[in-house]
Amino acid sequence: MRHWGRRVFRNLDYVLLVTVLLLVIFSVMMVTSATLHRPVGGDPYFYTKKQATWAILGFALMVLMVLVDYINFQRWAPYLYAGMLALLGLVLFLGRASHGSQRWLPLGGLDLQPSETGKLLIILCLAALLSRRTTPIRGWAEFVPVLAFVGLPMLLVIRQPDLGTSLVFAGIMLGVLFISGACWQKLALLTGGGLGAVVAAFFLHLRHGLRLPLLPHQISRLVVFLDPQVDPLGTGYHLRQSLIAVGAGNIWGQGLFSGSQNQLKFLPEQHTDFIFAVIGEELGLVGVGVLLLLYLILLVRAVRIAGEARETYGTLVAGGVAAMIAFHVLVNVGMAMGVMPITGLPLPFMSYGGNNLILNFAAVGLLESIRLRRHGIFF
Amino acid sequence: MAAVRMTIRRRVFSVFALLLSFQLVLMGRLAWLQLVRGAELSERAFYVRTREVPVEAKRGTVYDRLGRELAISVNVDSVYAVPLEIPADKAPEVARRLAEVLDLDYETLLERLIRRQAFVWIQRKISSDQARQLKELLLPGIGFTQEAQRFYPKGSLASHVLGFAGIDSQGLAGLEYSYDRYVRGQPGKIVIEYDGRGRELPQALHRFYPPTDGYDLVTSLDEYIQHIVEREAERAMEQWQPIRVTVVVMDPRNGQILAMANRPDYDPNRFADYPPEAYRNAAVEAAQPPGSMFKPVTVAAALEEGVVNWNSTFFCGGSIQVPGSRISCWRGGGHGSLDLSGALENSCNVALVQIGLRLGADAFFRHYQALGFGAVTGIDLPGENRGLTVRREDLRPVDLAVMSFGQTLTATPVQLLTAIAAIANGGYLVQPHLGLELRSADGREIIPLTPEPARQVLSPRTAAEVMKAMEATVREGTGRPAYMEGYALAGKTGTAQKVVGGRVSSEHHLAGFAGYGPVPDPRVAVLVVVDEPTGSTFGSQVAAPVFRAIMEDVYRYLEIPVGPDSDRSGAAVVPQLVGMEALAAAGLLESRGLRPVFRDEGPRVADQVPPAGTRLPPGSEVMLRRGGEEQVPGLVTVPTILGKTILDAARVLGEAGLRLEASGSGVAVEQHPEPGVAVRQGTPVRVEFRPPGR
Repeated sequence: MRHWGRRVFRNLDYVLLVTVLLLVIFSVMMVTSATLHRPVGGDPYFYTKKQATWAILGFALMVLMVLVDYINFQRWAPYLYAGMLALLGLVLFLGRASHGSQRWLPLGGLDLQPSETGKLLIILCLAALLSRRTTPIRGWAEFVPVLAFVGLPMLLVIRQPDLGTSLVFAGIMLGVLFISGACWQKLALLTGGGLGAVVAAFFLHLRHGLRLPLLPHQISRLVVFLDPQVDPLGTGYHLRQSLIAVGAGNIWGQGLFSGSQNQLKFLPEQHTDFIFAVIGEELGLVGVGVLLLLYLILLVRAVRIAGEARETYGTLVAGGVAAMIAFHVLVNVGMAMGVMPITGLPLPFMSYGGNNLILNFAAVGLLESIRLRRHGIFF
Repeated sequence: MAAVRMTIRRRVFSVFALLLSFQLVLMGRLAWLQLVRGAELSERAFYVRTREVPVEAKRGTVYDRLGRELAISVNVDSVYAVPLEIPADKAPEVARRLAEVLDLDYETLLERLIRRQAFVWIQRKISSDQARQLKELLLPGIGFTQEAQRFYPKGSLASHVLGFAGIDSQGLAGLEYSYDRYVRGQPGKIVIEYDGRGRELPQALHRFYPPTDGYDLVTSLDEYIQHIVEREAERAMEQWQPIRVTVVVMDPRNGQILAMANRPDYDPNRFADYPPEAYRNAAVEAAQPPGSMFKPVTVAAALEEGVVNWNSTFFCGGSIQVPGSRISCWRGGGHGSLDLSGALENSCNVALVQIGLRLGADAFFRHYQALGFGAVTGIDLPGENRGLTVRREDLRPVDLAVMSFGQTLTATPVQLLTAIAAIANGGYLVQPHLGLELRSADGREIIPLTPEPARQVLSPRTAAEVMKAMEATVREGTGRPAYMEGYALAGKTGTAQKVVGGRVSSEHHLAGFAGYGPVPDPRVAVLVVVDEPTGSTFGSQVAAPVFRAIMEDVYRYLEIPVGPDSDRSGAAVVPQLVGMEALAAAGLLESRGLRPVFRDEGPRVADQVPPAGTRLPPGSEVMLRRGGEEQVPGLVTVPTILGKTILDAARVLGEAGLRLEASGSGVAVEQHPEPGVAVRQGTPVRVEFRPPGR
């Protein structure tokens, strides 16, 4: 037993671990700054306490993930896939509504958000599907089963409706397919075609009234992305306030707890989706630079783990995790800086919210698990 | 399998490169936002969260010459809404309550209350009754602020002189307009920080820039004389049913206007209820032919030029032939043979035509201009008309002949009275004016308002001679209806044909009377114009009785001695001065030819020697002992300001009638005087504000 313990500790990726812990501490600090002025039930640290609690829960789940050999997930993949579809189907019928969409399943103290859990499950299942192949995907026909495999849970997520998360599914698929060695020209065509279709549909909607399966607020967000000044007090409000906040930070920021856009409640969703704007305003270019550097380290370590994995399944899972985190960071930060449309995706490890934080810890647990077992049979 | 592993290794490397480039793009965009556009965006961040609420300055008080208030400012409530503070489901209820109390349209109110806006006025300057009702309802998102409302305590009295001020405290007519720059004061403001939901932050920096209250204006009006004048104008209005009656009373020695009134008039407290025509002050804005009231001017000019003298005789056969026309006298049969005084006493047109023609165009125009016709007098009222006449180049002999008796030229009542005053005061053209002085709200600064210096335009001898003829006109001529035994009045009637649609009308008349008294040192000059009277058109029948009634009361009020003509000694009666403001008392004494001598300090007259009613030779000294407290407004107890925001402090002090002198920002931490101390209303309270402890 002592022997086993020493091996675990010797083989852990400590850079990755420390990076994640730094991110979580950063997060608790920023959530505190973003919510201090809006106490819940008279407690200004309500959000701080909850976020810290979730971080501890997440940490426990991460330890659990390290201990379990990830190769088991490859064997359980069909059941995981079925379970994921069941959860996503269930939330449509039983889910609790918030902000105009049904995303939560009440589960004791914590509301389970199946679309978050689904992100991790689709990585594990898709990696299982692709790892069974002996050759990389080459022909168009070979893409079809993969598209259907990911497309089914995506449709369920869109129904909630949660456009952002369904795009995360697409991003994970793209990343895993790319790492698996699928023909990259065809992959690029597929991606381009998908984006092109979306743009064309959008254009037809605006010019010729083509009906889109989108809600009005989703369409207006896209319009605002194209022209932020179009409606400064309505839909454009989020983006404009975020830009002002980020821009007002300058090099050193206005100081923790004293960003005016944040503290004066000009920033909407400042502790969740727009926490990046709070960091930009209060800690400036330096704070944001440190944050992005932490993400870069995290991603580089994830990609490295993918490269060193014991077998293809581990590579694909690590690649999927990297793709997921990268997609979140890119879209969230891009949104706060006005280079991406507003989609409501959380910033990994930073945004307030239990489901996403715990999910990310679990994902990092998977990475450490893969890293730990890189030199063959472990036990 | 090995091939797959190889591909995968290459792909992992590509992913690595891809991630790095994404990061670089994000950092680049970030640096652009924070470094290049940083300054602009931080400025915008400040801009979106501050708002200014103007704090109106209090308009200065307008006083009459004896310190009686003619226009004051009182604090009233204005009600506003902060729509973002009204819960959506409460808005209809709030709108309904507001509509009930304020008698406003429910739909319009509701539309305003649900607007996405931080601040909207609901109704400004509401009654105290409405304010009390609303305050009791404790409606969410509804606030009150104090604003100064102009109030004219005497109603329509002197409305055309005072004018009025609009909702934003801006002077719009009359003296309120001409002295607006001083009376209005400098508005202050409160800068308030708001949060993203439009809520005022209770502890955020409030900066208070206090307003500077306006200057008080002391006018030459005498409220008592104004009352007399308005009463008589009203009576004439009822008796003769004219379209308008205008009366101006002036002190001929210095041009100070003692009273000025028009009928019909308006109540400046409700000026918006009247058509704009009602605001017109005909005394300075309406130029009309003066008719026979102009005749003393022609006679004075002719005497001045030496073309006639008191022995000159004229013959009136009922009409006279001038080049191009035949002019009739008002008396069909003619006046026969007349001397100069007789020509005025009988108001003989034919004689005046002869005088005018002897005078000649050049001399006529020289004196016409010297006596102030054809140019504004420069009185401190807006919209003054300068009057018209035929241009010198276009003048035909018939024009000169007709102008001699006051037709073919127009003048405002103030212009005409100023010319008549030059005859009454020994030949000086004074500038008519109303403002005596401006006093800053704190009493530290006094700006005297001095008119243009008087110009000698007639020789004293000419003036005295014309005065004598005008006295005879009242005693035994056409002005007889104005005669009162012992009053020593002088005057001239006038019946003018109005110019209607560019033509002289034989149906539209003005009946007027210009006069003054007591001869030989007149202290009051009065002009009465009745525009289009019905029943009679003669100045002697319509206007002279008005003049007489006014003079009778003014003499009594000014204690001008009255007695048989032989008994007039020229003695001055000492008026009651105890209790009056020192400056006003001095003015009153001087206006009676007595000299004030002050003893001690103080704003008011505490004692006088000799007592009121004593008759003294002109130029005698009257000793006035000064004393007394500054004003006597009630004492108030200083409320506690500690812990309050600037906004609240200003409101609480305002309600107590005290003034806020704020320094710093945040909440009040120190105040002077201390709470509970009794001070006079209007006392400034110094309050120091500091940001609440962090």
